[in-house]
Amino acid sequence: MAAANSFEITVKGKQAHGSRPWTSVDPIVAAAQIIMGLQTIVSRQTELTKEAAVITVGKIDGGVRSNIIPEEVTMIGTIRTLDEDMKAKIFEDIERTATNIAAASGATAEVKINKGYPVTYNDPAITRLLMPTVAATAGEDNINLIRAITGAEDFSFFAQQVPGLFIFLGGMDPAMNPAEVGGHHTPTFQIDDRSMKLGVELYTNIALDYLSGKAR
Amino acid sequence: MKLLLPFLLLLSFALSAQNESHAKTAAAAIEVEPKVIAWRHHIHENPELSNREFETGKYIAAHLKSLGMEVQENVAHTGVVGILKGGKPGGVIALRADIDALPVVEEVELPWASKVRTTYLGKEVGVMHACGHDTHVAMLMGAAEVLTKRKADIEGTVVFMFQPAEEGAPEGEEGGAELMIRRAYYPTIRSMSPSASISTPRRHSAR
Repeated sequence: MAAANSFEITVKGKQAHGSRPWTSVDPIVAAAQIIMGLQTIVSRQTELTKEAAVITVGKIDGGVRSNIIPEEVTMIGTIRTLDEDMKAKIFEDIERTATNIAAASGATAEVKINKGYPVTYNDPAITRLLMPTVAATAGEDNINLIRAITGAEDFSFFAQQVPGLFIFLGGMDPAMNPAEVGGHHTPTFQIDDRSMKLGVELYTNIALDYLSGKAR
Repeated sequence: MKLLLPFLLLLSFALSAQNESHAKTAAAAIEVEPKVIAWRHHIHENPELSNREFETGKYIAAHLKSLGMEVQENVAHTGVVGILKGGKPGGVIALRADIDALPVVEEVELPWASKVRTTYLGKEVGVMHACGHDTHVAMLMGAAEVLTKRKADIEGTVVFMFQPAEEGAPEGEEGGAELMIRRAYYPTIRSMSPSASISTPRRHSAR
């Protein structure tokens, strides 16, 4: 699962009457250019053959009425990455893109990147060690090794300290249609009680097999 | 062939030991399932937001104490850590479940649906286990019960970590796994077994 970091960009210009833009430094136009500039970070500057990455601007805020060019525009967004080096590079790319595009029109941009969750990454050795236990418990045919997803999890902090294994356990009533059920974080989300027994078994067998060395 | 045979015998012995152990687990899981479902319904009906899991924490702690294990409460605000020492010496493994709910109004028709309302960021909101953490808590409580019964079989120590605020601590507060590591992992767990995997902190970055 991806690392999630949020960013905040404050573009500062010079306020003026909307009829006289030449007396302003327009932060709205600069912000628009910055948003478009950010699009080229993932599409043109990130090595996507390594891993996927996402930059999304989720909110933009500036101005009060039609005929005032405001002093300031702020925008916030999220960055999703699956690789620590790519993450560090994207942080730098955002800073460089925003500040230089702002500077082009005489505005300034201040970029703040907030610490989020690191990449959730299953340790290969622990995964190899425990997969036979997981398969024996859940049934070989019920195991899906999934591709990376851009959601995030704070389990990643534990997995930075010790080798970690993170498992998704299916919990949908098999009689339901996956296309119609409520997703995570929605008011109609539900989990079938019958799915929990397997979770109890997985926790238990993983603990016992790991400690006894039978998983090895 | 002389060398291979004992190896094969050993291997089949190891495999049958694992099968036997898993069969015991399966039987114990069937036995504990009604309780797991009841716990899940209780937690689902009484959801609490991140860093506010006061009653959830007490509920978990009461169960772990009833099993006779060493329990730490109010870890990283409302988290609970249970330490189960097995009958034989060995390493350490930690099992983790997150315990917080979300500011969502439940619309599922269930006898145990959440009707809880609270204030979040100045807004009146519902509270719902809309990310399955209620099931994570119930399953780990179930595993704690099963493993306690099989304490004699455990070669080492199992740590149960019930972690608050996975969805993110409220603005201006610390919380979640990061705080849990500072409050539980570093002070207690890391020193428990110098040779076990859990006590060899290392950083790795995904390729």
